[in-house]
Amino acid sequence: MKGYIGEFEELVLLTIASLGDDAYGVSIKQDIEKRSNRTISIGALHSTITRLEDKDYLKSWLGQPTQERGGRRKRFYELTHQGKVALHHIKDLRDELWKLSKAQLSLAK
Amino acid sequence: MKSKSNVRPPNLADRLFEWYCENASIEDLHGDMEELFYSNIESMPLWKAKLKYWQQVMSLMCSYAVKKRKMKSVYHTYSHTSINYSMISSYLKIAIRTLLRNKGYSFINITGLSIGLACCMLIILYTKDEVSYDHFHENGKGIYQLTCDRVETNGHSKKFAIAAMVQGPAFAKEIPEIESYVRTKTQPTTIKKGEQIFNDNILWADDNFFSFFSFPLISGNPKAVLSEIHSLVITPDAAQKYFGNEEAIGKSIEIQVDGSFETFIVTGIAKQSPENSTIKFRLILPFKYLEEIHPDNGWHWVSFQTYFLLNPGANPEDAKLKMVKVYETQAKTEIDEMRSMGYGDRFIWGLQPFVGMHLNTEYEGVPDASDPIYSYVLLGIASFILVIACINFINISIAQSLSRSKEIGVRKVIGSQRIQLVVQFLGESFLLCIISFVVAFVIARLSLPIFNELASKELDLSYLLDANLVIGLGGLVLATSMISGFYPALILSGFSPVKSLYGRPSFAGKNVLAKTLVVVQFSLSIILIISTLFIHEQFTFLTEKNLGYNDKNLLEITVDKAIRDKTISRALKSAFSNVQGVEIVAPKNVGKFQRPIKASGKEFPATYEHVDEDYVTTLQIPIVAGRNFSKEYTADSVSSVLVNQAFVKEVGWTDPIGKTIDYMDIPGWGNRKLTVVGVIKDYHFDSLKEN
Repeated sequence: MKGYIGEFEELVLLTIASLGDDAYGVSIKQDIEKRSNRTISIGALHSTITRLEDKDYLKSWLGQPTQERGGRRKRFYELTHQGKVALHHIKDLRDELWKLSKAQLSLAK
Repeated sequence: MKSKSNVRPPNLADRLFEWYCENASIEDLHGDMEELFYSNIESMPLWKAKLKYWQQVMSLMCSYAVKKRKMKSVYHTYSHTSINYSMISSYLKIAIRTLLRNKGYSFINITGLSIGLACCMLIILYTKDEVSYDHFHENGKGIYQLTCDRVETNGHSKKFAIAAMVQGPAFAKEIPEIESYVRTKTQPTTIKKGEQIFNDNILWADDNFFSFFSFPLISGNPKAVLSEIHSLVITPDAAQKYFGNEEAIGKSIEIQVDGSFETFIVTGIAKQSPENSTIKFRLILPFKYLEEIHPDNGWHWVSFQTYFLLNPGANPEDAKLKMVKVYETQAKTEIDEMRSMGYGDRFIWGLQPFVGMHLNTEYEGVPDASDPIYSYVLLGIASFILVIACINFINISIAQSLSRSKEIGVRKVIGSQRIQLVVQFLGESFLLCIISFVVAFVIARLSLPIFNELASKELDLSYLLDANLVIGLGGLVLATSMISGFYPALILSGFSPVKSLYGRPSFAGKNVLAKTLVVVQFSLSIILIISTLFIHEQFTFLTEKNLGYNDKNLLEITVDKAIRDKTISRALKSAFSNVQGVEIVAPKNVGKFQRPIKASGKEFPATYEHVDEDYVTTLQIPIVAGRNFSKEYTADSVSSVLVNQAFVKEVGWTDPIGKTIDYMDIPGWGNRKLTVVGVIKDYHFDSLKEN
């Protein structure tokens, strides 16, 4: 089913979007961990990123080597157009569902 | 805060990760882990950060991310170290194209290498056969052959590997170290089957022959086949000759012993003795028979091979010491008798190990014993030829390298690693060696009959199919390809791509090693050529040396029966004289014998021959003084002698004619005084190898 994205995938995509020019492995990991208050393994994160690349939701490029990280380059990620469309789809779906279920989901007693 | 420079992520984890990811592009992942590690050590103890690092390595190694990247890397342009199929097929294609493009060079290379390898194969066959002689006997290590060292009064010694009849039983009885003995004697004889007459070699052997040595019997009981005095054991080959396809056991043939035919009955069939056996046989007869017809208690008339089996762990030196004692007590009367006759030779009995005896030429009387020097010389020549071929290969490869520098340059620009080029060139030399090996095998196969004739052996290429030899030959091919391919591979792969593509690699002119190799190659070739010429000269000397007599158109026939019987030799002489084309016939005794003589007060050993009046004429030996034997002088047949110039010189006569030799003991002739009737010119009666 093309266009389907899971919860974690959505989280990764949105985080990459929010990080802008600075979206690479460590920054994505730390951002997600900070916001969602959970630890994620680096293997799981990179697996997800790789899957998202397979689905053409992400594109990447290698940065310039720096003194940090033993001179190893960072790989930066950016959303593709399809990625953005997929995010919009899921958001539209959610919004619609939220609208329909306003009364039941109210936290006020 | 800890300084970043002295805290590093766990090295082992790094290495594990890099090894696992092979050549996949994982630089960013690795960087991520390191960045996390350094941010972790700000907030937690080092050991925990290291543990986390390990966890990250594990989690990444199991992740889809690395798996995917590894899959991609197979098609990665920069993938090195892992040798893949398409690369190998490219190497092979290039190697074959290079071979075909330089047909001349390839031809020289392959010919050189295959001749070298073929020589090696043949010589390995030869040496393997030489070294393996007599190794197949189960008791081999415990078997010793009795040797006889005859020391003459003047200090000269003659060494034989034979003994008289008595030593075997006498020593075995008296010396506890000796478990058992076997005596043998080979003899050519005449055999009668019905009306048909054959010539064959027989072997007399004691009845424990088949349990002492490991010669298997096809039929018959090893312990009993030779126990009957008229029994006979034959090989399948001999059985075929005498009985055709009929069952041979129980059949009889007549064998001539001492002039009369005796009937022997086949009691066993023995497997053909192996090619690498000192003892070879076709017909084996019981030694007991020989003992019965010629009983001999003498210790000094040596003519039989005697083998002893020592007890396990017995020291042959101890046995030797005891042998001296036994000899001195049992042969006392004989020794005294000999001394009283003025015969002062001393006999020293010894033991030589049976295994390895083949390569010991110290003692006379070991059939086809050969000097190990031949094996060494041949091995030397084979390695020379192979080294020359290898050097040839190296030089040609280096010379060709100029034309290949572009290929190397392009390969390097595309991203070939040096190790890949080394592998490529080694592979090429390996390919060449394999081709040469196949050619060498064919050459060896084709030249084997000629080689066998030269080496008087019956070798077969199937001998090469011995597990050790197969490994050895594989090693030889591998070593040859490594030696010949390694240096070029190292040099060629070292070309700088820029130099090889834009300029000309300038190494060929000034390379010291290449020059050295050429010098070595030429020296080796010249050494070989000189040695060949030298050996050729030797052979020419042996075949064309003036022997002091005319050896052209001279024919020698040995007639066993005539040795003992003068009437037969006379009858043969007149019969042969009537054959068309025969000019002159002269009988002579077989062999040459040395006996002590006394003349004009001097005593020394001299070699004698029994001849008649035609001998000197037949061999065209010039008579210097006096006359030849003649039928007109009746005394000639009993008391005349011809001597040579060397004899006259030794005694110191000035006018030898009419002088007497006071004492000369000839077996079967008695001790006589002889009158010199003539002096003949010196001629060679011994091998030119002797002095």
